[in-house]
Amino acid sequence: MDDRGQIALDFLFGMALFLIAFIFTMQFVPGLFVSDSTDETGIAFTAYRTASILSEDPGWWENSTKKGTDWEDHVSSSTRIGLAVDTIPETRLTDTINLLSMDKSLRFMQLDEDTVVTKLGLYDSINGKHIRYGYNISINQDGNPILLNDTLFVRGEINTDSVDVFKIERLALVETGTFGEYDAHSIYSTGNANTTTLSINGSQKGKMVIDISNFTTTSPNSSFENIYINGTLLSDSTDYVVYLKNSSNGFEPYSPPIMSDNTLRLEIYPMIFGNSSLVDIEFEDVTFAAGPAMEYTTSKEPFYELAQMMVKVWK
Amino acid sequence: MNDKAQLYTLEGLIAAVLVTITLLAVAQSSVVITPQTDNFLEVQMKQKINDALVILDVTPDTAIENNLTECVASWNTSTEASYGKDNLETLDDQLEIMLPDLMYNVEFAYVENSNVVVKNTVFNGAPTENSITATRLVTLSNSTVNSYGGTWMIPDDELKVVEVRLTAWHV
Repeated sequence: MDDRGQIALDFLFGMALFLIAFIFTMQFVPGLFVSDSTDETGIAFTAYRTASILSEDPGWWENSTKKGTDWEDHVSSSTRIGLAVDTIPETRLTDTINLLSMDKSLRFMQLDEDTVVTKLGLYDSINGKHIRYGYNISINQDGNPILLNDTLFVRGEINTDSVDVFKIERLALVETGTFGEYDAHSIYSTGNANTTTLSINGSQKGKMVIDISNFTTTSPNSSFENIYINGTLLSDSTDYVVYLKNSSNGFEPYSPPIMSDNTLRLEIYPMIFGNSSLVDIEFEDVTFAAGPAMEYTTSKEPFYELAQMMVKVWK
Repeated sequence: MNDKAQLYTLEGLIAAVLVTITLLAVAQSSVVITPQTDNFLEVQMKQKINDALVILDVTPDTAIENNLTECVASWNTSTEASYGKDNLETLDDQLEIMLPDLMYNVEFAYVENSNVVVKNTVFNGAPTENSITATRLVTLSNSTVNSYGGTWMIPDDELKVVEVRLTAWHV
């Protein structure tokens, strides 16, 4: 018999199996090298990165001629969003990690959803398509979002179903207002000797914190009485809180009397200041020399408070 | 011709497929095994205690009264903390506020007479296996020590660098 030009059945089977194996392999091998970004750990990285950028980076913006870290004034050309304080916006200094700026935080709350998601990379890229992660970013004190100026610092959505949520918590000092420190001998009364007056020129953003020390007391029962803004009486604990520091303890909630070597701290909440206001602080058995109202704006510095930044990310 | 011990095409391919499947199975499972969530919890704790030290170091006086340098400068170098007996309460008080659900110890490490000295300054017990340490360097001069009442002996023209080691663990 002439066997030429024949294919053995063996070979046919073999070729078929080889092809199946080959296709199988070709399909599986690329799957080996798929990066972590599509599984859960990718979200963990995203949460970590988002928290780091927000708390350690002052952000960045640039256009064809200028650049700097003050992105809050140039949102449309911003490239990175960060909340860390910047003292010199033209430099790339990163020595102010964990100190968060109020201006940047307030601007961050006003950004539209798309900007936040893109600039912070809160999405997964699958075949060129952006799939948004769920997220929730907040700055908390005692478990509740902190009030900056009159905005609650929380953005994103609430995660209702308990899927895998990756959360990371950072500690930070948040700028919540301004602080001024006064010697009671260098602030004056404009009427009654037991009342001193400070004037605020321009607008006041956030809390107003005033430390007064070195009092002239006229009895052992000297006490703090009231605060008025433009003649309106403020109510204790809803509009302001008072602390007192004596020689042995740090600041504690106020209780009379005030000694001459004590320091009184007034924390006046925002929302009650007009554009230019007069703040009258009334005492009992404490006297101030007569003189002009001291300007608060010239002596103020940022006031920081300890808070926790919580970043939660899920699919 | 001797055909013994020869593989035919069919058997050869089956063997090849088997080898490929096995290799794939092994390669894929070894990638997945890494326990990411455990790592993540550690990262979170490390980050938090690091934050606590950084904040203590950079804080303005209005936010936290005694910053890290002031706490270190006020330390009495001849004392050492032991269980239930702190000797740096200002530091302990601040850390307690910042790390409410963690246990922690603080050690100071510095060079004295060419020897490295390590001393406990806040002690809450023996750390567990999963404890994590964060460190921060503090530089002291004679004038800082004098103004905060510590007992460090530093010549006027020298500086002393102290490493603050914060070790924390979950209860």
